[in-house]
Amino acid sequence: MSQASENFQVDLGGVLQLFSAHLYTTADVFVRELIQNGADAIAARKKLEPQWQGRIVVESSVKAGTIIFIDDGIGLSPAEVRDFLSRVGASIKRGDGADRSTYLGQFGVGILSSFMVVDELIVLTRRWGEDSNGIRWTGRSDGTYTVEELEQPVSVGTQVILKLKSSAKKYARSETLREILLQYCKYLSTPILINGRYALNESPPWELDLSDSNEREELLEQFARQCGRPALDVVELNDLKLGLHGVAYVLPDLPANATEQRHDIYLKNMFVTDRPGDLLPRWAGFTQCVINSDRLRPTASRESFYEDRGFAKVRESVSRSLFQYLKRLAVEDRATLSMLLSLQDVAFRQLAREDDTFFDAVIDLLSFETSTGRMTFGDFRRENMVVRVASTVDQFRSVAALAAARGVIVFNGGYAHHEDLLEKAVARDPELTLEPIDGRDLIEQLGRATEQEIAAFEPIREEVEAALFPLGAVPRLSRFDPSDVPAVYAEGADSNLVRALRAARDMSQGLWAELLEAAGTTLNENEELAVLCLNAANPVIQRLLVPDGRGSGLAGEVAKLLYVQALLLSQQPLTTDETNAFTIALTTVLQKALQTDNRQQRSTQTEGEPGK
Amino acid sequence: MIRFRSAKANELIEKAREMPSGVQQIEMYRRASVLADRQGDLAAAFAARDELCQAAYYTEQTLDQLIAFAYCLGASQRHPDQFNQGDLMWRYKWVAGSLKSCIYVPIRLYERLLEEMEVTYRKHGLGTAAVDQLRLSFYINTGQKDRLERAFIAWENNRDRSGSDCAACQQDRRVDYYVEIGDHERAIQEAEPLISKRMRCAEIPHMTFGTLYWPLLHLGRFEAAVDCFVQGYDMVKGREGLTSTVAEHLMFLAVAGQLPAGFQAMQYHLKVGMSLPYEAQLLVFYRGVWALLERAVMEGWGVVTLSLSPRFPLYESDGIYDVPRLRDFFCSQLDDLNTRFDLRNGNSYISQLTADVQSWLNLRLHLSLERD
Repeated sequence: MSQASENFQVDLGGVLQLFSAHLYTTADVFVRELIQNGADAIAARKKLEPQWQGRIVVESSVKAGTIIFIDDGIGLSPAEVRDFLSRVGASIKRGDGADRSTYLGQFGVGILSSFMVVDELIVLTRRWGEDSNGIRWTGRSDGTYTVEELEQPVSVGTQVILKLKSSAKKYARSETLREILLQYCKYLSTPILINGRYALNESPPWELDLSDSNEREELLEQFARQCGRPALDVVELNDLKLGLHGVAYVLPDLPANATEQRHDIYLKNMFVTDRPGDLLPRWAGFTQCVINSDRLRPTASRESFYEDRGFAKVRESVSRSLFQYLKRLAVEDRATLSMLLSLQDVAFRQLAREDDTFFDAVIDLLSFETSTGRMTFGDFRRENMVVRVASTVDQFRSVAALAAARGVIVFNGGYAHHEDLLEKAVARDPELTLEPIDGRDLIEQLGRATEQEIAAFEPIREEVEAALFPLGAVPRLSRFDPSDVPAVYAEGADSNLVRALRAARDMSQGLWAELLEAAGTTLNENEELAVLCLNAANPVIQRLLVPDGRGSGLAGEVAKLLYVQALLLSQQPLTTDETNAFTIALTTVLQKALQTDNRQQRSTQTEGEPGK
Repeated sequence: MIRFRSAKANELIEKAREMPSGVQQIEMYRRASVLADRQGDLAAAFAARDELCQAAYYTEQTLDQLIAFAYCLGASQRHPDQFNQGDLMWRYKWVAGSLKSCIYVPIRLYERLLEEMEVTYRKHGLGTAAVDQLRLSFYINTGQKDRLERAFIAWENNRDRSGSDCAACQQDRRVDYYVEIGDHERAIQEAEPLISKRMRCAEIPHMTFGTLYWPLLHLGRFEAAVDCFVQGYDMVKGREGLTSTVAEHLMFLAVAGQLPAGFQAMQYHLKVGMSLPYEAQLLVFYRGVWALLERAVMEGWGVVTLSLSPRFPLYESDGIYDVPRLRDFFCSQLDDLNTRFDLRNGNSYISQLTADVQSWLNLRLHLSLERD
């Protein structure tokens, strides 16, 4: 049986609709596409006629609902009209050495964007250097087109005539066109006239000489005017090897939502996007960048870029420039650097973690939470050599009060990158040593109670244990300074995990219970209970240990009070059980104390009565 | 009556949600769940664990993931009017995926888990292709080569993919399969839509670049293998939950003889890699570090200067490390895990993977990373 190979049938009208309606996020881009085509055509003509200046004229009429884009560039020959205007998706080369693929604007896909605003597109074009009147090409949104030679000659170049749909007539307004052109084309070097007025073509900020203080000031003032807020500084982002030009404005604060920081990215002076994705490093949020590059490769819609090697190189270069700036601040202006660090704390800490030079530049400026309050690492390093770190916020809380009472500085390593930075500081400074701190470790390091004190504790141990066990703790008797702290609380690193495992086991059955049983073999389940360490050097504890019978009956209630007090010292959240236990224990102790007091008073009164 | 304000578990959950992903966030969720238990707040206890299960998945904290999920599943069985079990099915797949390489889960127990998952998925009207895919991955990870083809065909023929991974992840599993059966050309072919980024997700093609080294090396396509490093390493550097792929990059650098770049990467990842709580990830990470050190010893490196955490067991305050000593340390860690996994799997598959890397190291290739 013979097989015939056949082409797909393409509904060109449908394809045009798909391209024009779904490729772009806004219809505004048809202006950019047509201007870009004009600019490219002028550039092509300049190659053949170097003295040629060229310009683009945009004429519109609200009444007629038309816009005409006129350029005096190289124009199109009949063959090029066929290749560039009538063949969607064809590869684009010019035979005269002017390779259109080297230009940003490429007829073919870009011109389709016009079908977002018109149903019919007319192009009048005449090729430079060819003896002809020119050609009229008429394309329609249903996918059909006609080509005819003109009877009367037109100027060399191209005119694109748009008869706007009624829904798109707003584009014919001068102000609307001007706004769109300002957004996309203001830095284009080709002059553009809108309805007879030159209104565009600002100098790009990257063309100013920032080593000249006047130009720098001018740029900063211009930024403040345009953005409604001042910039602290401006940094050059030039890298000639990459065809990269740009500036970064250094901001004194972050926008409310830092992820919405705007950076304007241009490709060959034409605006592409203000959402550059990963083109800038995460820590660059303290800047607002304006970047122009010819190394970036735009996607078909030219609203974003391919993340290829060129993209990576531009990213590296921009990161390097900003990084150099931060390093310079570390030497010349540490106050500003401190302020910038505080703006993007997590991102900068991550950078310091990853980059040794940046780390060395900023570590002394970074601030950390410690058991004696917040302090910069520089302040800590001046007076101390042992870096004690608790790995989680909970562990820090469980040791902070005791550490503070003993004058020991313990760092809270529980926030993102804090512990890593402290470890790195130790690794890079041979005079420092690291001492990881776990709540249990600190308890183990406390002094032992005397034999007599341990013996005195025995009669009330059971009562204290019974009081604390429902609260998830066990007692231990130690002796430590300062003596005015009656008790401290500590948990092991896996306490909560063990508790969670038990709760899950209680909730599960069958296969899942077996899986949890298997998982339990990897944990030390003795870790679950917290430890309440009673201080035998404290007067309250000493009173509790006096064998006069007072402790008995009251020791459990006192232990509960001390437990809650220790939790509060450790900044632990209290559960309902704990607050209830505290309230009941306090009431019981008060009642007993008052009864005792009353008995004593009555006894005193009785002793004082006459005749007794 | 005196009343202190009790912290609410829901407040801790909210706090944890605002934290960056990592062990601190996990600890906060754990704390919230324990607090909710103590306060008898079942809804908060469930919510904290549901969040914890997700956070633990992204940070490879398998034990937390299992414990949290088992609680939620149990709660949904006991209180079906309060918690919808159907909502847990996505997490079910995550947990089952994580458990397949858990050293403490015996092979037979895991097979029962897949059987139960199949029943549960059917009950909730979900496609069983997700289970078939897990079964295939399980056989790959445990070296059950005689069961691979059948499992692959069953998965490919099962068209009911509701509840399955995204298309990019499924495509990545196909790549895994062809790599595992030694069909290198087909593996590369299947990977093409991934590495061209036409198909992508949060973890793909990040992981694909790590997988592709081996077929590319086998076919002698060294430049393409270098491209896997150039494009792939930055995608996983600094990302949590992708340490296995980091280890693949370390192994490649060792095979390529790129020791300075390898040590730089090792220095960066060592602390996180060594603190992984999940033995399967630890195994792969140690294999990568060992490969690098083994190659350095082969090349006659006596010492290397590294900036490592003071918590590293062989920490040197001057940063100068004896390479053979480091190699011996990681070799012994790796041997221990190889033995334990082989014991669990009932074969020598895991040890053989180390032997395969050794064969590549023996070739003493020198591949330049400079490409333009």
